[in-house]
Order: sequence, then structure tokens, then C-alpha cells
Amino acid sequence: MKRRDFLSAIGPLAAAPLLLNGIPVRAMSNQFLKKFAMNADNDRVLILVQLHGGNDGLNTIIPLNSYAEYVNLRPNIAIPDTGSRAYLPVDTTLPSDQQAAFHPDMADAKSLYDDGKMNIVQGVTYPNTNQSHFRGRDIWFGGGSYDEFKSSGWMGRYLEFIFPDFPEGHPSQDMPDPVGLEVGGAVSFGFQRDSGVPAAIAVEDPVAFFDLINGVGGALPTNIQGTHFGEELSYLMGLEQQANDYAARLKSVYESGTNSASVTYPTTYSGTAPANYQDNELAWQLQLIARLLAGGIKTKVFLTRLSRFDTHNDQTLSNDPTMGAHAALLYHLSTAMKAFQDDLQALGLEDRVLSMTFSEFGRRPTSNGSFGTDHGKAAPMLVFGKGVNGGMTGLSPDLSDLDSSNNLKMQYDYRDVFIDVLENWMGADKPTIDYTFDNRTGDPNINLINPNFATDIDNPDFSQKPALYPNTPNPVQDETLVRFFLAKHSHVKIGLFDMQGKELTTLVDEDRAQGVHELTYQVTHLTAGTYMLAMEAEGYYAARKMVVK
Amino acid sequence: MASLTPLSGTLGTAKAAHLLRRATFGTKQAEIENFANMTVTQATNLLLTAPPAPTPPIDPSTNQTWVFTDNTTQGTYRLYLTAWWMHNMMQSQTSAVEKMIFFLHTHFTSKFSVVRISASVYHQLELFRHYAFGDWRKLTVKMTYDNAMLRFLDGRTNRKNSPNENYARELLELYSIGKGPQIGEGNYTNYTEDDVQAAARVLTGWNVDESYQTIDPETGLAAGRVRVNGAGIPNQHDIGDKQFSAAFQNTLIQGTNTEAGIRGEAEQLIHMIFNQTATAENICRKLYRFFVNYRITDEIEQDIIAPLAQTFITQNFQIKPVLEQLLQSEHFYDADDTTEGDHHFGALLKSPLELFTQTLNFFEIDLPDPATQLSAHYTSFSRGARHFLPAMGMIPYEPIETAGYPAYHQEPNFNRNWVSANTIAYRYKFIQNLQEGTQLVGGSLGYELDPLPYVENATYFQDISDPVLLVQDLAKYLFAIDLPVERMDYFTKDILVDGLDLGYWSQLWLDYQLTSDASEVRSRLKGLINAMLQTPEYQLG
Repeated sequence: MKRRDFLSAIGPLAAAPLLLNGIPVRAMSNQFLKKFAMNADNDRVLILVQLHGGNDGLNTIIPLNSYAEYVNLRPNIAIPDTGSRAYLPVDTTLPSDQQAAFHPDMADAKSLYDDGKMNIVQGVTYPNTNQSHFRGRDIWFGGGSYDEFKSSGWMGRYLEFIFPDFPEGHPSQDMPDPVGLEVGGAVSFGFQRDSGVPAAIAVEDPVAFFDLINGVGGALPTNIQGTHFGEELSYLMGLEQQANDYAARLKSVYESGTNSASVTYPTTYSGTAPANYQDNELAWQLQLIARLLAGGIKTKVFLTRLSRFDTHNDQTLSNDPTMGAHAALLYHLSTAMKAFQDDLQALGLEDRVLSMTFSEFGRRPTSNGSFGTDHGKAAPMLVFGKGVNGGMTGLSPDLSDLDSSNNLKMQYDYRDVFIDVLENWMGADKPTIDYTFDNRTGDPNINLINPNFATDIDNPDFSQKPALYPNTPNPVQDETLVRFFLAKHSHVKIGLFDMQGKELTTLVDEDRAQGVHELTYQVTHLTAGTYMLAMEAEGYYAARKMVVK
Repeated sequence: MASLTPLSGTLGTAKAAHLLRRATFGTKQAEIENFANMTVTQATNLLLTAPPAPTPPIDPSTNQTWVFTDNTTQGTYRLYLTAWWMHNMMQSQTSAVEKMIFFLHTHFTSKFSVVRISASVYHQLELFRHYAFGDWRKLTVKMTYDNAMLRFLDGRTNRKNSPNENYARELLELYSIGKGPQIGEGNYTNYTEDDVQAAARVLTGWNVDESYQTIDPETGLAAGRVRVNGAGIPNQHDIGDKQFSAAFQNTLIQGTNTEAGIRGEAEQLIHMIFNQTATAENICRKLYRFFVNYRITDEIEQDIIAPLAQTFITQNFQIKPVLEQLLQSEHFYDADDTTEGDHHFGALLKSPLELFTQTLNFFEIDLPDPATQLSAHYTSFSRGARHFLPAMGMIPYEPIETAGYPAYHQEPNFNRNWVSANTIAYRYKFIQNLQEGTQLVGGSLGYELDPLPYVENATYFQDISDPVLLVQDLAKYLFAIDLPVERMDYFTKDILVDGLDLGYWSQLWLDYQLTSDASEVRSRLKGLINAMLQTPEYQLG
């Protein structure tokens, strides 16, 4: 939002000096710092697909191991085992307790599965699943447990941790793009940080976004008071700054990228469903992401959404349980993911992209009389990509063994699924996981990433990798404790940098033994502001934000 | 401490403008000054009095209303109804009734796209109007069998052998007591999963009546009805007893099998919920977040929310005394000494609806009156608000989810949810379009903000030819707080006189008086209004 443009747009006013001059690319010239985040340095990206409203997992992946109970619990909406619209068995060679089938409108998903590009993680939720949409979504986005009220989302924490210079040092030469991108008009709670602007921007049409941003706005205020008015003002200014910073870049990335000519993205459902379920809401979002990736966007986490999963009513047609609202949604999901995967393959991007679905809860095994299902608990998460370990994680739900509220039992905690992906796909180190998911250690039974794609095949174990922990306390008043870990005796260098990437001082530059080391650092000579501590050891680079009060 | 003690003395301009920004959809300068001379009692007496209900919307093809007869779902009726609703908002000026109706819609959410029938949405709006300053508990009972709600949350398919708990869950979670901390499996402190199921059973056996023949005797408005068999005997209600948890003192609602009994069960359920102090507190918290500030500290919880809830309870859930107490309080006007959470002026981001209506009303841009220019009235809506509001992130009667517009419930950001990098740009674009008289999608808007006749016709400008006074007089009403001197200088020196000598504007104004050539002064004024309104400051109300 440039002052010059809105002035020129209204006629003969003389152009005033340009205050926000294009993309302020902030120099980060220091080579040492440039490599700061091994995690942020790879080119892997994560696509999250939110199934908004609570997906009925049991009609998505049908449990063949307890099919009789399945039909018995939901006779009016059960997917049949015979006929032209019978379910599609996932893989008849799986053990009997993993036998399951896709909804008949998920043939495309089955083909991804058959190609080894899909993993079905069964029974995902968290202990004491909250059956409120809103609280449920806050928990999934917040990355906490049922009784924690987070003020930030796990994606926001992950991104601000791997980009310790965000937002002050962004965009930069190394990260010219938004760290997170949500396709849509608003940014979800998952990208929120504890304070300040979210770690993502929301965009639907990069060209229109650029034109819009450049046509409006004015000079921003400079004197901000410490009132609530001032707090809101700062927030709005941060958003304007973000919009300015990224609009031109997104347009250029979009215009230099293309989708593959050989792939056609789906647009409508081919079966019978209510009018508002006909259009494929997901396909164009994935198509946009593929094009941005082809154009060179470096954004790490993308969020898309497929909505209207809250199928209390008319989930299926009354005369055909294989069609209707939910069938259309599954068709949209399945066909969009297949087209996206084919597009990525044709564009040569398949090695870089992993996609996964999530939903605030599953639905109850027992259907209601309205050809629908009420709020339930566990449900499958679907993970797609060439880097995925194809197959099924966990067992098909046993419908003869429900919990005390007649819901599916949990097999995996949703946080452990995300941890596995962050760690083994995105290459997150231990401090990153600790920060993002409150020192949670993950679940060794979840192995979603193909070993050929694992970010560190030799050393899957955190105890084999060096680590720089966040300094404590932070913000710092007078002194702070810096902790780091060396997997073996080696040379270690830790430097202090300002947000322009200038090294101010070196804290350590010597050989140290294997193990955890600590040092106390006095900050009294530093002016208040944001700094970075960066470490290099054993070919490992990491940087952490340090705020001086 | 934060204080509900009524503010003494007359309001003055800043406090009057604050009150009107929060409690109305905007009004003109003369009305703000009128309020400035009132005490808080006089002000709330005026605000909290409902004008006569507007006549129903008219279908221009028949010159009749359709809202008592037509249950079809044409999109044009949605357009007509929304245009009518927005016209009511803009006309309400110094009454809080439309703001309360909107608040009730944000609380008892429905989505038009799910209800689909505009006549039912009309009756829901009129139900909000009926109880806008009245008995909230009774409104909750009526909402339980409101036609639009019976569709929106599936009450009409909630039957004895196949309960659908959609409405029962949101009744507890969103519309009344609210969810407390989850303290165990299926236990949300204020209610349990079993309570959701018991409440769903209480509410089995209702259906919509989209012939609008079932008239509620207390409101005179169309409502849903009890499902009966051919002999008129209720046949879909669960006649068993319904047991509630310790959260409701183990209340047992006895099953009944008559229509009166079924209505009675619904009433018992709502009364049981309202008998919990947590219900009054939850509703007062929502009121506070809507009208005052989304930040609720422990101090505010204790000094403001708790006593407001007590008022609500002792006044038998009449909302007017609660609104009076809140809108008259020293706390509302930052006149108490709250240790934290003070300075409410400008602490809430305006909704797109407020930005639109308050801007048009302040600049006295009259849109066509449906009583005399029916088709022009609909055209002006479909060219204007119909596109501006969604671009700014809001579709009227279409919150993104059942919990409502995120601005009113999504922790921790609340009102900030109205803005993103995208929607803030469209807020600025709206001002630009308004001054150009163009639609967002191209073409003529049919109305415009022309600042020249505005400043010429308004009587409050001390001296239009003095650039400093001109900007001061506008800023006094356009911004929630006094802006710092450098910001005022920016509007005056950098924008109005374009970095030239201040006398430049005086000269331009004089030239205009002499030559009647308005082009230069109009252009300067448009630049000034663009600069003042396309700002983050103007988004705050």
C-alpha cells in the first residue's frame, strides 16, 4: 500500500516521496548466518488440507475387519460391499486387522495408494477429544491437549522458530516469500504467533492481490501509543507491511510459474449431490500452489481448506448411501489430490512436496435418522506424496470395541503425526520440535516418511545430532543462559548477530567435548531489540531469536 | 478498580461519539453533538428505545411482501431481504435496536445458505427485534423452535428414535452457558456430553412450519410446530424422562406427550440452563466483548462481568437494564481507574458493516428510500454493499461457521479476525470507490462521497479556509482518539496543501469562492478524505 499510488489515483496531486519502496529486501550477507537453519534450508514444503466440519472417517476408509458391525451401526448410510458402487478395497494383501476400503468415489486416492504415494494413519485424535467444532479446531491448530488453551498455533510456532528473524528480517534474500501461505481470505489460528502478525498471509489470486495493494493506502502513522488503540494500530500496520512486502513477489512468482499442460484439475462432482456440494473447492487451491512452486516460491507451509464436512443431515442420499454430500467431498479430495500429485510429477516438483489432511474430529459410528452422523472422535489422516511411506499406519478400527461414549478409540495422537512429518520430512531438529509441541517426543510407531526421503538417513536419532537450544530467559534483561549439545567432540562456533545479519560478537569458537554445554551471556551492553544467536558445529547450523529488553 | 458507577455530567463530544460508534450503525455530526449535551441516562433512554418496527420488505414484481407466504428459495429474495436489513441499520441512526439485532445474530448464528428460505430469516430477524431490549431467556426459548433455527441446526430432523443433537450442542456451547474447561472425558465443567444428548431428547419432535401459519401468541411471529400424527397427537417426541448431570444439579425433566407438555419441556430446559450463574456470566462476557473490549482481565471479570451478570439475573434476564448499566458506566468511558484493560476508545476494529454504514451515515450519503424508490433501493444495495462487504471479509447473514463471525468468539484475536493483508486493502479500496462513485466490480455506484458539498453544507466547520481547523474539525469525529500532532500535520501539510505553504489551501478556497471553479478544492478535499479514511486509525472504533 503505497502512498504515491493512492495520491496519483485521485488526480492532480503532486506525487509525494515513496515511503515504502517496493520489496525491502533486507541484506543477510553473512555466510555463516546464511546457513543458519538447516531446517529452513532444505526445499521441502508441507501442504495441509483442512477438512472443515469434522470428516466422517468411517465412510472415507471403511473398516472391512468389522464390516458387519459397521452396517449394523449405520444401516442407512453404510457403503455397500456389492454392486457397481461398492467400496474399493485398499489392499487385499494387508493383514486382516488392517483390512479396509475406500469410498467408491475415491478411485483416484486408491491409485495414489497403489503407487505407494499415500499413507492412511488410522484412529488419530487426542485424549478426551472435544466434540465442539470450535474448540476442536483450536486444539488441532494450537497443537496442545484437550485442556490447554494456546494463544498461538503450532504452524506459527514452527515457522517463527525456524525463521528466527521473522518478521523483522523478512523478506530477505534467502526467504523472499511469506513463510506460510493460506489459500483464502483470512489467516487461520494455526499460523498465529503469541504476539504480532501471523506467520502466513492469505492469498487467493496473486495478480489481483498485487493490483489491489498497489492501488490503495497511505503513509502509516509513526507515533504509536501504548494503549489498546495503539496495539490494534500496530497490528494493522504489521499487516500492511506484510502485504506490501509480498505482493510484488507473489505476482512475479505466479507469473513465472505454470501448471503442467498434461494435467486437468477437476471442477465438479460427477455423481448426485446437493447443489452447494457440486463444485470442487480444493482443486483450484492446489493448482495455485503447484503453480507458485513451479514459479520458485520458497514458502514452507501451505494451508488449504475443503469445507462442509459437518454432515449431521443428508450426508448421503436417502436412496443411495454411496452418493450425496459426503461422497462429493471425498470425490473432490481424491480427484484434486491426484491431479495435484500428477502436476507436481510433471513439473519435476514431486520430491519436494508432502500433503496431509486433518479435521477437527471424526464422526460417530452410529448414524442418525437424518442420513447423517453426529460429532465423534478419532478418524484417519491421509498423507500424500512421493516421499511418503506408502501403506497404512495402525489398524482398521474395531467397531466391536468402542469407547465408553460409543466412539472410536484413539490409536495415535495428532501431535505425534505432525511431529513425525516435521522431523523426518521437514528436517526439524529437537529444539524445533520442543518449541513447536511443548517438548513432546513423538511416537516411534509412526514412520510416515520413506527412508529414501528421510532428511537425515544416517542419524534419525536426535541424540546423534548437535542442537542449539533457545536461550533462557528470553526476553533477556541482564544475562541469559545459552545451552547447546554436541553429538561428538568437535569445533563449535556461536555468534551473536543483529537483524541485518551483522555479527556483533563471538561467544564460542573452539573445540568442545561431546555433551551438553552451557554458558552465561551478559547483555547489558546491548540496546533493547531483537538479535540472533547462531551456531555452527559438525556441519550443522542453527539460529535462535534473542530479545533484549 | 473498574467501575460500573454511572458517569456523571454531560458526555461531551468524544464520549458521545464513542457511545454512538459502539451502540449504533453511525449517525451524523449534529446527532453526535446532540448526544454530547446529554447525561448518560438521557443518552441511553434514547438509544435503548426501539422505534416502530419497519414494514416488511417488498417484492418489486408484485409490490407485495413475500415474507408471510413464500417459502421458495430464490436468490433475489435474499438480496431483497439483505437490502432491507441494511436499510434498517442505516436508518436506525440514534437507536441501538439494529445494533442489538445484529449482536443477537452474531450470538444465535444462522447461515442464510443453510436456512435458504428468506421468509424464515425475516421472522428470525423480527424475533431478534421483538426481544432486542427484552427477555433474553424467553428469546432463547423461542429460538429453540424458530423456523430458521430448526433448519440451520437440524432441529426439524431431531426425532425420538434418531435424535440429532446439533442444536442441543450449540444451545449449550454457544447460545447460553458456554463451554467451560474440559475437566474429564466428555465433561466441559458447565455441561457434559450426556447433557448434550439429554437436551437433544428434550427437543425431539419439532418441525418447521413454512406456511407461517403457526403464530406464537407472545410474539405474534411465525414459529415452528410440534410434529403430530393424523389425529393431531404428537408422535416424534421422546416421552421418556431426561436426566441431566451434576452440572445442572441432577435435574430431571419429565417426559410428556402433549403439545403443551413438549413446549413446557423446552422451557424447563432453557430455565434450567439459565438457573446457572455461568449462563448470565457467559452472555455478559459476550456483550462486553461486543460493546466494550475483547480483552477481559481478572479485574474486569470481577468488577464488571460478575455484577452485570447479577443485574441480569435479578432483572429476570431482561437485557435492557444490563445494557443501561454497561453503557452508562464510568468503565465504558475510560473514566474509572482500571489498572489494566482501560482505554477502550478505538480498541475495537470496526466490522465491515460498521465501516460501511458509519461512513455513509457520517457523511450523510442518503441511499434510495424503499418507500418511494423501491427498485433504486435494491439496485443501490446490489451495486454497493453486496460487493463491498464480502471483499472486506463479511457476508451478511453468512458467518463462516456455526460459532459465528470469528471476530466475536475466536480467541485470542477476536476483532482482529476481520482483517488480513487482503481485507484491509479492500477497506481502503472501499473509500476510494466511494469517493469515485464507482462499484467495486466497475460501473457507476449511483451514490458517492463528495466532500465538497459536505463541508460546505455542514455547519460545524469553524473556518473551511483554515487548513488546520478544517482537518481538526473532521478528525474530531472521524477518529476515536485525538491523533498525535505529527499525524495531524501529515494530513494538513503533506496532503491538503501538498507540502506547500498552509496559505496555499486558503488561497485555493478563496479562488473557488471567486470563480466557482470547484475542481481544485474538490481534488484536494478528496485527497484529504482518502488520506484520513484509508488509514489504520480509521479502522478502529
